[in-house]
Amino acid sequence: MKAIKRLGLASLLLVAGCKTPSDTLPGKTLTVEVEGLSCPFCLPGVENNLKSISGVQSIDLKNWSEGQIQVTEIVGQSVSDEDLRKAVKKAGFTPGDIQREEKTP
Amino acid sequence: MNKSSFILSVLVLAVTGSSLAAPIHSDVALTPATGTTIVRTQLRYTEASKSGMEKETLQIPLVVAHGFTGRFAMIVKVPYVEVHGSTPSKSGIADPALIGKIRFWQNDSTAMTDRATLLLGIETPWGESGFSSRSWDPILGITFTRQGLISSGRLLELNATLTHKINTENGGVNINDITRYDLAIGHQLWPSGTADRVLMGLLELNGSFVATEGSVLYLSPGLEWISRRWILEGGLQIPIVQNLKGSPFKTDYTAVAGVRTQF
Repeated sequence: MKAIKRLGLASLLLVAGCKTPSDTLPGKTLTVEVEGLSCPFCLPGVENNLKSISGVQSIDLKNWSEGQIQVTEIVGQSVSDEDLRKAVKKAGFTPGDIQREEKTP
Repeated sequence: MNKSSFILSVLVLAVTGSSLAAPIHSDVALTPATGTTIVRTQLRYTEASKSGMEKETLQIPLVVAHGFTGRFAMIVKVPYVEVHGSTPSKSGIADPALIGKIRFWQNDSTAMTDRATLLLGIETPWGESGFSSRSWDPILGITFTRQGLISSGRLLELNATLTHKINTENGGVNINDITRYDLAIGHQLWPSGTADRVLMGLLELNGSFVATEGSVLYLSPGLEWISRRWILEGGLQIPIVQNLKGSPFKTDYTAVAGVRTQF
């Protein structure tokens, strides 16, 4: 009986130590057009500034040469266009259109 | 002026390039993103000679740049120098410099940027004896950059920089005002298309002028390996003009290897 209680307690601690699903599940993906991205060494600066926005789950830079960055929101949260544009400007680049796709990956 | 100091002071002024994909010997008009810090260092080995005498200079500048806004960064530069040769060997820290970099013009398009920045700084008198001007020397500069992907899918980089350091006291080793001008072109050698890791070939012209001492002009071929977090670089500076008054040591060549990272 004691062993079962210990196992139960350990399981509870393990669950409590993890992030809740809503913090980690990907939500909607946005495409942010960014002008001026001109070399690979430029990318971490814009990535870090976009990641610092509350509600951003992940950044995908694979289309940087086409001037597009994919931003995935945390499920249930929304990131404003204004915050995205501010982050791009803080990184030293020029924000363009922001396309919101109504689908989750 | 101590003639050996001319070569030394020109070298000290050389490494202001502290941000993003700058050329090896000169600066670029891009600034680090807000909150981003770039750390750069180089090994710069110079051989100089006169009348059968030889002198070797090793410079290790440490440069730290931090982006405070999207258009303003501060740069701290601390050069370590060793001189070996016909005179007794000496080593020490040369005058550290603090430089502000302000972008005043920018024209961005998809995967391409044109930018211009002002450099406003001060070289402190805090270097060790024999490596210091013993004066607060203002640094003024302007740099222009065009950088991005061209139709072949490869990176092209063009830079032009003009820098002037005003010597305010002529104290210490008596280093006079120095004007530097740099032109640089870089082209992606590998791979053939867009990539997150590229090898760039660089060709620079680095000129320096001191009214009372003369002028030098270097042709500087080099290579840069650029990734998202790291840049590794190596190159040579070969003098093509050395119009120096008197009979000072003249540079035979400078070999450079460097690394920079950002976080």
